Amino acid sequence: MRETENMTTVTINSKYADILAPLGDVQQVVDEAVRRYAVEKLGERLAELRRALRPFEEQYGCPYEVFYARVTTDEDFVAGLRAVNPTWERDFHTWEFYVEELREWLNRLEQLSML
Amino acid sequence: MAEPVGAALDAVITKAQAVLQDVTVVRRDERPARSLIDVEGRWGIYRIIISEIHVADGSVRYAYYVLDAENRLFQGFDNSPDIRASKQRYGPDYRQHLHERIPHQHSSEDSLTLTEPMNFDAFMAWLTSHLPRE
Repeated sequence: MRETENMTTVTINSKYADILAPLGDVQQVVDEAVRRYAVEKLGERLAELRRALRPFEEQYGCPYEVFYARVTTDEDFVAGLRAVNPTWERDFHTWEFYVEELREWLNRLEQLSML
Repeated sequence: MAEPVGAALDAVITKAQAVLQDVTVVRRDERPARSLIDVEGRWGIYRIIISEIHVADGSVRYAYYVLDAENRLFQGFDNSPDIRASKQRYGPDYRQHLHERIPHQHSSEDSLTLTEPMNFDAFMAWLTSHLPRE
């Protein structure tokens, strides 16, 4: 792989190049193929992260952002949490882990859509 | 050079296996920007939970718990941005620090005490000095 400004050169099997050549400019065809692959992979990753978030949303009955707002601002809510789940901070950290991952992958998807 | 995160997670497991009984890895997830390890074990009659998230900036979000035989909190240490910790540390100015991660400790009565930052070794030291293993 070789990089220049805004471009990275990767080699593809010449047989693919031969097959793709009749479809038009090989560079454009490969760019489109890579874009489609990236969208598919990003979609898989986002789905996986949303699956990871669901148990927390169901257990605490709200999205992460609401839960975060409550634990950082609502003392009565925090006081009541312990009775429901004595280890809620563990859930909070794990939940946050997947939310931050999701945000980063959504950001990558957004970058991809701007290409 | 910083220790690779995978090695840090391995170290938590190895240390837990050396000190606790019936150790199980509940969750382990390693990603480029952050990694997570969640381990449970037993210390005598107590259930022990160790949860660490290692972030690429070098920070660690942690929660360490001691639960009694009825699964009630006996003691817990964490650095979540708990409003009660913010109030204790900053008093009337706590609103300016609501999102800070503040190391603190919970007791069985759910009283909250500010602490120094904890790690697995410090938690094990606390366990050894405060609870008979039986």
